[in-house]
Amino acid sequence: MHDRETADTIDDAASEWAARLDRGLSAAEQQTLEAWLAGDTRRVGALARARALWHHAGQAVAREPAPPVMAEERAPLLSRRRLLGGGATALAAALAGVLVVPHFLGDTETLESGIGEVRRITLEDGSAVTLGPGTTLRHSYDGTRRLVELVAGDAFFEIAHDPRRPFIVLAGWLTLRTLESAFGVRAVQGMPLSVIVSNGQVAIGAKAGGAVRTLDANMRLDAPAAADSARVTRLEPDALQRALAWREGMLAFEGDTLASVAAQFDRYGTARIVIADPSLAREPITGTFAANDPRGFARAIAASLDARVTIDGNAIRLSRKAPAK
Amino acid sequence: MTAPPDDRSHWLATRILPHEPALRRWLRGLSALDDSDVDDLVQETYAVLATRASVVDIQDPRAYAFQVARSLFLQGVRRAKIVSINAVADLTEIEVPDDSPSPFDHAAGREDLRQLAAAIEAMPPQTRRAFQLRRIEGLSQREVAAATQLSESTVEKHIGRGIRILMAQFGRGGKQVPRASTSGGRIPDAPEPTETNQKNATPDARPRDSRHYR
Repeated sequence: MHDRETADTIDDAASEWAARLDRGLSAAEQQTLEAWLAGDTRRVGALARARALWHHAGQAVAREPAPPVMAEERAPLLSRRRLLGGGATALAAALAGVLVVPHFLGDTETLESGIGEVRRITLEDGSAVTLGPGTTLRHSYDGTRRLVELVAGDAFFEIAHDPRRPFIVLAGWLTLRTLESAFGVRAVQGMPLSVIVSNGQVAIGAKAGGAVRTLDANMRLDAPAAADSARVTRLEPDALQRALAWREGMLAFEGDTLASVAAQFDRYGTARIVIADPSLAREPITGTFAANDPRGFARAIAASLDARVTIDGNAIRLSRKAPAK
Repeated sequence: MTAPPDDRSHWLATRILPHEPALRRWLRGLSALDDSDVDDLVQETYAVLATRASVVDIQDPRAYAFQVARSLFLQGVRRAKIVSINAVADLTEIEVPDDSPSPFDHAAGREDLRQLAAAIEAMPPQTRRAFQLRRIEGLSQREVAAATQLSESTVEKHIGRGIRILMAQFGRGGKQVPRASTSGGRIPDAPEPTETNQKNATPDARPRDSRHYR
């Protein structure tokens, strides 16, 4: 960050672009703007902020004295909730019935992320998927359905509404089906298959057929091996945030064992955390950590558990200190 | 990459802007952050919010904006290589302030409108006139030009200047004059802790139960 452009310089240019956008851009200006935006993410943010301020300024003057804006903003939210409530029956109807396992036909495309990589990709229908590290996903759309298979890894889906084409995700032995929702699916070797819904509704059934269960927002399904072992739990908002923190490059834990936490870090890079002592491996870990900094994590943990950290090439070794007599 | 669409501007204006003053205060209170760091983080936060494919799943925009800013702050600290043992221990404890119930939101909503109104009042007369005709009376820039007998490019400059004043005034407690460049004045590098100095560096980290990390 040597000759880093200052926030003020960016704001200067952003305000000029906001004024030009307000009167409409020529094709050439549009190109120049896109090139400018591509140069630094802070420019994107500065322009978004400029346009939001421009938008909001009308309100500031149009009403004096200023009424409580939030009260007004609440209204559409409430009516939207009511709408969702009333629409639940229709949604349930659309999701009802046996989930027939669709087959991949025609064009399929594979999306992949590397070790330690978190990628967010917008699909052709406007839905977005965030891939966790080491994730492979196949997708195939046609006029009747949007079909995705999570081959391995972590994926968070934000589904664009399309009442004519349900969004179907195949993962492990599960089939998921939804019209509009946001949810995460984990299919990682050595961890239980799981689904977490943060918004909307997802209908879940076994590929083999049988009962279908609807998962609402803030609910989690853990499905280790077979239908009878599946378990549904309701998540508190902060537990939901923790479970999905990987999207922001963070790993968050609450009382997880050091062994399972170390396994998660291993997915983010070449460094491996080795725990020398079984009693250390069972220590509960709570906290939020940068996923790509296993060394920093190990040092923090060593300090709090009074353990020793030894770094040997790609191995980060945690061990008990010699017992104090 | 394209400019954020208008509905996102509306969302940012109504859901995020009201909380920007509080977000800035919170960021300023974090260790080692000067005003230019805060400005950078705020821009980056808006970038994340503006380019997110959808915001329908964000139920609590205020909390989400704080989370994004917090995560960007942590990334910045990592980039600056000051993840000393102390920093890690402390940073993992950063809590995003609790979402406040509606009375506070009402106050926040008024604070942002008051700040905007004050910023518009503070504009030079011609800029304010162009700004009001365009934004409040709804004339197009061309119509504003005709009404004020200014050229269209001059009107555009006034609009741009008006927006610039809002950007400088809003959320920063009235700081209007752009500062000189502060490049190079970022968080200084600190040596990575070694095994031997760890113990001395964190006298308070050891007795702390790991449960208290959050």
